[in-house]
Amino acid sequence: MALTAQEAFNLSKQFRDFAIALGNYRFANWQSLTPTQRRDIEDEEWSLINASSDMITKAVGLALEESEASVRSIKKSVSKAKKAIKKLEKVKGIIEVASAMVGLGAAIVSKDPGSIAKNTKLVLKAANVLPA
Amino acid sequence: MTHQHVSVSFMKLKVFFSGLFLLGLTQGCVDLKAIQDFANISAESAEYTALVDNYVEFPNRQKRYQPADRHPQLDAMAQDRITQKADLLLRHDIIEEYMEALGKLAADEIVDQSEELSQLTTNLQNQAGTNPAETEAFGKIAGTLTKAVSDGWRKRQLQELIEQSNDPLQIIVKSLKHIVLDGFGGDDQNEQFAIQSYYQTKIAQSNDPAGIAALKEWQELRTAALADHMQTIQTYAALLDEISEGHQKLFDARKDLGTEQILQQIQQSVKELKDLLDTIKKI
Repeated sequence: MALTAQEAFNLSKQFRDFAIALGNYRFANWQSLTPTQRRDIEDEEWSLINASSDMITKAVGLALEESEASVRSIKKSVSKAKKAIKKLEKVKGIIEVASAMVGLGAAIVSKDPGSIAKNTKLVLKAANVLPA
Repeated sequence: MTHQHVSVSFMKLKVFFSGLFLLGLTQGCVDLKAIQDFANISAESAEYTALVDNYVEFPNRQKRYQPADRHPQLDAMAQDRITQKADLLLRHDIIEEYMEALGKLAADEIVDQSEELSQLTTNLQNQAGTNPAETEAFGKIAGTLTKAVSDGWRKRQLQELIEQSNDPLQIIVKSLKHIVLDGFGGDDQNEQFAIQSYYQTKIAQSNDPAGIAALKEWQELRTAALADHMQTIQTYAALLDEISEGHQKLFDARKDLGTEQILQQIQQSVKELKDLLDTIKKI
């Protein structure tokens, strides 16, 4: 059976607890231990604390894997939401085009070539054909 | 184009907005500012990625305390964590991106076409052959109805977004909280052990009182910095809880997002999120 992120986190805690227990023993018995014994115990403490940190790295990796499908699912929702936002923004654009068209209509009625050219540009800008 | 053509265009616009009127009757305008605020503050919270940097840097910090023969193992660990960094940041990014989309969709500006409609009304009023009073009335109705229809559509999109995203969002936030509390928090406990072991060993081996005093000061300094980091972790975990609970409330009330009660609850979540974020920034 494969290890889960939670199990890996629990293992990291157990390694840490062993390291702490060994450290407490070393300092509590400092005077009665030989320098070699102190060094050997300290060495074991570092092995245990690094095993704990390695297990944390493993657990984080597993937690990332376990949530991968959800990340893909949210990405899809975000993409859909962005499309909806674009659609709503389009409503404004449509009204702007309608507004510009009315202006162009008035310019044509007035038969003023300058005004026609100006309003034509406004229509094209509103329709995003020309830059704003 | 003749005056008659202008009048026909005007009539077509009236027909268009009459259609909107029928749709508008079934829709109500709602103020979703609380949801927008919740989404914005959640997105801002997700931007906070200093904890990820600290996680990646952990093996290098351990080198201060561990014997040189342990450094190759710490280098390998650092490499593994660098590989995970992009995936960790992706969790933050995806929450931020989702909340930004939610916020935009909840923002009233997106369904407020008053400026564009005002311009359209002005242009129509300037037309020969149109009745100014009628045009003004048309502008007002068009404004109300366009907003009502787009608001109703927006509300359905919001409902759908919240409905489809709640389960995966809860999984991602819960997973991130585990990573923060058990992973980053576990690192802090290991660092606390390393500080204790390193300084206590040096102190026990020393016969120099001044040296011992200096070592104790350094130990206190490192321990205090670590205590701040531990507090940040607890606060960030609480912040993730708040995001999770706030979104769950939105999901539970997704069919009635505009009700006073739910908006008040969300506003309370916003306040708590702001407080938590301020606390993290101050640490």
